[in-house]
Amino acid sequence: MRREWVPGVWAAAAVAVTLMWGCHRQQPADTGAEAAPPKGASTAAAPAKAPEAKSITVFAGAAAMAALKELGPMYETKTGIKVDITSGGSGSVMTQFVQEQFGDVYMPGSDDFMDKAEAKDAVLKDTRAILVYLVPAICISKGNPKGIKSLDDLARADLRVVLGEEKAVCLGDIAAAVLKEKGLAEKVQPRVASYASSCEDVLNKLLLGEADVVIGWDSFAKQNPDKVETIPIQAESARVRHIPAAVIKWSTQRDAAKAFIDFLTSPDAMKVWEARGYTTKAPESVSKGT
Amino acid sequence: MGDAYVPNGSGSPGGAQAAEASGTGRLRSGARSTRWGLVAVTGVFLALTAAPLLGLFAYAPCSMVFCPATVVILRKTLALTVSSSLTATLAAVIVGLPTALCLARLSFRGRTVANALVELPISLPPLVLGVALLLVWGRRGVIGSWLSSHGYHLSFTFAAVIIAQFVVAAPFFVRIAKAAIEQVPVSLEEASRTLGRGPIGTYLRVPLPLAQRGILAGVITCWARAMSEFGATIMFAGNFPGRTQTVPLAIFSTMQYDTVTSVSLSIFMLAFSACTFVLAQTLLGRSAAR
Repeated sequence: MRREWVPGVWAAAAVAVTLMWGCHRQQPADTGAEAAPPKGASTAAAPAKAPEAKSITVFAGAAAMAALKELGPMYETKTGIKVDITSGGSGSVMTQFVQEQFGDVYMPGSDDFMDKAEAKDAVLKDTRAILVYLVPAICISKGNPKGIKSLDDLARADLRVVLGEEKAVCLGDIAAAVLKEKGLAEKVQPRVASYASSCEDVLNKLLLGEADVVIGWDSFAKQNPDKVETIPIQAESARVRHIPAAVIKWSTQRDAAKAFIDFLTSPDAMKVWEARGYTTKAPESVSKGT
Repeated sequence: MGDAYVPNGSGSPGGAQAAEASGTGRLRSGARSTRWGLVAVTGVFLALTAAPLLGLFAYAPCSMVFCPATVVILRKTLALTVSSSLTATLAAVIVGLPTALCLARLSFRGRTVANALVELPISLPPLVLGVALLLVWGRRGVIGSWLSSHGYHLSFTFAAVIIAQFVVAAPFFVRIAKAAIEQVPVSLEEASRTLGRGPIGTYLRVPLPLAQRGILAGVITCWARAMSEFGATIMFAGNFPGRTQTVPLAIFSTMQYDTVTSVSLSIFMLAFSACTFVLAQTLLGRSAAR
């Protein structure tokens, strides 16, 4: 009878080992990071001075990743500080670091998310920096097979248009404002095949042939020179946006975090941004959004 | 498709014979119209579900799976994905098998509720499960804050990947294993008990071996689901390359800046899944032949 319990004991031991192993596995990941502040600790009084950082944790919107995946290792080589980067939707990663009160640098895909983070008091305002600019543009497939020349063409019956979702994606807000300004909102609406949930989704709709034309960023063409070309938008409301970065309020190594942001705006880093198709200088012809 | 259609043949050692003996459920070979009808509907089903996957090959040919960028990413993510999903599957079997037995064989107060709770995660978006995990096991979560105060952090670690995969995939195992155990006649267990075998010995020697085909199917489904897990993982474990980035997360990341690599990674996953299911069919076939 007792022997029958043996498999059960083994199974319980295996579960325990699995859990123990899982728990211990995470310790190396915290190397160099802070000891977690105890629950309920005053976060505003997070120490500005910390032991020398071995790694910093970056919560990034997916839009910056094309350059960031090079800039992270570059910074590590230069300083010996490892850059741990997690990327996802700009809003999702914000939810993560706000809920966890953890991380060093926030870098959303566009400035509106940083505004939200500031409104939530989740980032240090005085550390906010502009990394690169995002210029709205009409984006079409390479060679312009549909012969699109201006915004007016978006109302053509033979075109499938994809726009960002208004109020969810800043490209959606820009598209709505531009079309309204030009009196095209109602004419274009029947041509809209879908509303994309992120800037990257807007680009992918064009790349995968689900759209003939999208209102996107000029960087779409620079990053996909063989597949995408752009037509400038002549409209007041086509405001230039930017990819920002700021130190997360709960960072216990603020100096190291700020040093990484400074590196991202350095001439060396700007070369990488430029090579990866980002706009590093603010265009003067269009108004700047904040 | 063969000439005969035998319903309810899986998971039950007696099911096929019973159907054959009674003659019910078997279509006459002459009923061609019925047969063609079934084939046609299956064709429509496949056109809706499987055919879009072939579109991946149209975008990026098979050879691109082995392009340098894809190989580099697979080298970083595949071992992590396989090891985490196998651990999650092992944990699912260790905890899930007794759970399946309990729900299939014991009658107790709250069994209906327990059944519903086990199946609940299947009907929820994995992203919701990820947020829930973060709120419970995160640094400020109900349990996570206690762990944090002892220096252990689960969120954004490899252990978090395993937990996320377990929570999403284990219910599939329990559901399938439970259904398989329920197919085994209770009378066989009663016979074992009357012959002097204890309850655990009976479970180990009667329903579990007889339901092994269904249990194996559950293991494979669970593993495949764990391998492809995305929503809960990115929310709870983050998307840190080399630490928590699994192949599905890498597909998401590369989709932002390198669509071709992203599609070739998708083709890899497709091929991997296809191999898994071929293996499953073979194993199940052998198991059934015994």
